[in-house]
Amino acid sequence: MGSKNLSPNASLHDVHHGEEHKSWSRRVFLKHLGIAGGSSLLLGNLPLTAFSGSPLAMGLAGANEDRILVLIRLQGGNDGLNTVVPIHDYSLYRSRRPSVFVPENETLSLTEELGLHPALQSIFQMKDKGAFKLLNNLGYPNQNLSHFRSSDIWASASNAQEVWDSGWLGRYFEDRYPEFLLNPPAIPPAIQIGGAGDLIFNGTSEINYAVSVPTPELLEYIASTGGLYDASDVPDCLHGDQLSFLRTISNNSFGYADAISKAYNKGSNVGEYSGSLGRQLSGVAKLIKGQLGTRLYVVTLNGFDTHAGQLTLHAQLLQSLSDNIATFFDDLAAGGWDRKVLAFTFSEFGRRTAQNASQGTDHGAAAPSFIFGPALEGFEILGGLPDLGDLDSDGNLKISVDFRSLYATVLERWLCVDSQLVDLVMGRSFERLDLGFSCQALSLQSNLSRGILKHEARYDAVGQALVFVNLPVSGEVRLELFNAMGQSHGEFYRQFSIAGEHWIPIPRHITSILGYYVYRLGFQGRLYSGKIVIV
Amino acid sequence: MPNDCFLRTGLEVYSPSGDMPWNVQRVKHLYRRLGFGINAKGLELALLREPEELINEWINQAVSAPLTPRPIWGDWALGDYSDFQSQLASQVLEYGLNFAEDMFQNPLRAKLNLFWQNHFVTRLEQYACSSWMHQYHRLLEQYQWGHFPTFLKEMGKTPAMLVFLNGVQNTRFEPNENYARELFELFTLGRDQGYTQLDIVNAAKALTGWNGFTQLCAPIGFIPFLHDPGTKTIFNRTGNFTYEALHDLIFEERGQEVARFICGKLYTHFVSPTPDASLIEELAEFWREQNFELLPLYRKLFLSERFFDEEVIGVQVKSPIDYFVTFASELGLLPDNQKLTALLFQASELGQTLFNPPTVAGWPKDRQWITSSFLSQRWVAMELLAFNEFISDPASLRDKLVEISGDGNNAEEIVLSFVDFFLSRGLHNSLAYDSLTAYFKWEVPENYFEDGSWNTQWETVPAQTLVLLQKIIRLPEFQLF
Repeated sequence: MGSKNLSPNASLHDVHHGEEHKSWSRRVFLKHLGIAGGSSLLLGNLPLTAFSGSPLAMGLAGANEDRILVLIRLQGGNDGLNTVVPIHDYSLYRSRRPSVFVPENETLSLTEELGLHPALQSIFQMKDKGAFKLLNNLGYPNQNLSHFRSSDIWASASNAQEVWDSGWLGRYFEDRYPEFLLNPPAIPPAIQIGGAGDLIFNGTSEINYAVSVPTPELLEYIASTGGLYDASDVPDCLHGDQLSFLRTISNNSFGYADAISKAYNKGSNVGEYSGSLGRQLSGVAKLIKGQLGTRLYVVTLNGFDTHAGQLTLHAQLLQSLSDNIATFFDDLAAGGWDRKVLAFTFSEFGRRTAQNASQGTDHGAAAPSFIFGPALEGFEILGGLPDLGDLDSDGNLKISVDFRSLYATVLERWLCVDSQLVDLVMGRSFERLDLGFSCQALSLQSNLSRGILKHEARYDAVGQALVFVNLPVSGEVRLELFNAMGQSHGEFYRQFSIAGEHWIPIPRHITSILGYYVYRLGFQGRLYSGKIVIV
Repeated sequence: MPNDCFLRTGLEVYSPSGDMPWNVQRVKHLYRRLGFGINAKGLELALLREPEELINEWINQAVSAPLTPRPIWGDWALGDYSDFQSQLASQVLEYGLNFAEDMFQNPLRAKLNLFWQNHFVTRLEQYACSSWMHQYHRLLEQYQWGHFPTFLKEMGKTPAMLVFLNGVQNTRFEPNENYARELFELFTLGRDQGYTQLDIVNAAKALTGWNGFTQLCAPIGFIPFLHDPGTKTIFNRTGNFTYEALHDLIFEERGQEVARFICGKLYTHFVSPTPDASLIEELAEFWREQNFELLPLYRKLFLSERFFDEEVIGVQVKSPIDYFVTFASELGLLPDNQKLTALLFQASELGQTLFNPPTVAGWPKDRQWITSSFLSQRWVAMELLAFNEFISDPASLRDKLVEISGDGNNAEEIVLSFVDFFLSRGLHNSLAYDSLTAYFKWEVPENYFEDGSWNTQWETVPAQTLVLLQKIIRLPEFQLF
């Protein structure tokens, strides 16, 4: 069997496939370690220690520490031109879209130049409440056009030419919870619904920081049963008895179920949600109102890859987005939470300016993002107008705002992360946008105050596992190894070490068995942990 | 077990019927219980067979298979080793790999062997000799099909057992009761079943004389002078019982108890962890009529309606070896030595080391295998095995998926049949299938599933399959067979 006719979509199998494959292999493995990729699953029997007493936990009491960010992923590549219609260049738009177009008189007029798709009535009304901003022409240079690769770029915040295995929020959490594996916070740092293969919450040291459920139904199930599996809903007789036992023990390995269930059942909804996105947002609203304390959520609306029969399908998707977002913020407002929540949409790419022969559109480049929340303090359009007269070589819209500017802005000005750390997480400094909100004070103490310590597992040519450490200053380094059951295999390194890079081998004799381990690094009174595989 | 779960089937030979069809579920059940599962192709073939004929053929093949060849060090004494410690380690590993391979090549024999290793427990860690290990294993292979009283007699004289349970120290001058106690308690009668402390004291005397230890790993012979020739009273019978006579006495005086005990053990190991006293009694009665020959006993039990009763399907907890080997075997993986080594290490880390149960009572069983930490450890270990397969040959995962689920383009159907292939009774709620399908769809946009353009030849499929496997191996249902 060859690799011909693999899919109707050549860009899935483009020249980038080779490198793409490599990055998949590793991250498929890492991401799918479990519903909670983090320690609660890996280290099944470790008590979930509350994060109290640490400098970070004390920082939590500071200002703006109750702000929440909800990312809305429009999976498949949203057609920006039919979402925000270019009235300013309508005839050119019509000439490229002979049949896949939105009639001018049906659009909801944002300004003289731009009109919203008619299905976006609810969002249009949020504009009047000042709870909506439009960020046009968002994307990255040299759009890749592959769903997988481009989704990775959006999640990792890398350049199109670079392959990063970690996600932008994963790197943020890495700094925030340096000892996550051995001393995780009492509540999940992030909750992701849908997007089962997304790497947004992967850290560089192979830890995923999010509780991730593939469907909203599973979240509801966890909430109602208090575990991943219902130990009481089993068939009769011995098989059922055995199953009940196994479910009970399996549930013990998912330490966050209880917190999630309690918050979910304490929270309640006002208003009517609909469809899959509605179920997801209704769950998020309950968790927020139930005071779970988790500050990052990702929800997913799938189906935007509209290669054929776009008009009806796209209108339904936009309708769902619009109505559910409005319901979500009304729901939050009823509990006094709306000003604490910011949401924005993102998608791997926009779509081709010219329609295709199947009443659809193919993969494009730049597209608008919607930002929601009363904290925005007023409607605004950023990023200028889409220019249909100035396209890239593929016939796609060019970007005017790098997507990482949006990330950097929400990290610094919404989540109040130290500016220097933001640049570190993003790989370099990106221009900040004025979205109408700011931080009262930088309340989060970051690890930067102690210099940037880097550490990760590495493997030499013969497979010997090493802990790589890059010390910002000289000091005593201590390393201890734990197995996947959380039992210590002892301290294997304790030495005063000079600033700079060190490669510290893990002695063979303390790793009798192949598999996962966790190292704990002690330096300057702080503890860090990372995962390492002995093979 | 609740009363409404009464099992109606008995020991009649199973013959497919409308109530008890010979279907995929029963084929898989048979191969998992009496082996380590069957791959998709084998399953298709087995469905075409008459179960009675199939099982008999299978047993006959296992019985007539040549014994594991004697390694060159199979009769070495200490003096034959040049560097004892390192040779011991490499020989044990080599032999273990050989055994692991047998699990794939000759699964029924290996499965029974594990059962008997777990019955006549010896611990390599304690007798610490590779040639003795081989001799012990050879005994199991030879006698596990045969006459149980002979099996028992031979077992008590093999050096591994003599050293492990102190028979070698049991002399007329300094009697050691250890073996006599376990002979009754663990090997024949069961705890507190039909023997007294006085019986143990006297049986120990009958067992004296096997003290001919010369050097580590050398044969241990009988020394008549160290045997207690005096009269002993055992089971209210008095005589100057020898080793042989004691064994005969056990079957004469306590044949019913022995039969009940061994049949109960076979039943709980191969059929259901919940014993069924009346059926076991019937089986024991049959076995005594068969003069304690094991082969007819196996046939009686493994061919019975009870063995195929729906209520006993999916009620056993997988031991680490069941968990790893069955998965590899059903997926159709043929592990090389490196992978087999990893597999043995992982099973060992989880408490199941070949030739080395943790105590004289054997390996853990049933629910004892499952604690939070053991459960997560088995997940990550299996994940590593699956991931290695993916890294070394991604396309093979696609092939496995297609073999099991066909090459259609309906993701829901593919997930359903793939998941069910690995489970005894499927998943109890449909939500679980939906979640697994969502995981399986991975990063592929929904429209490709809806418009039918996604299919198993997509380049994403190996990764999708790996993701699905990673979820399957964690399912509570997957821990049962």
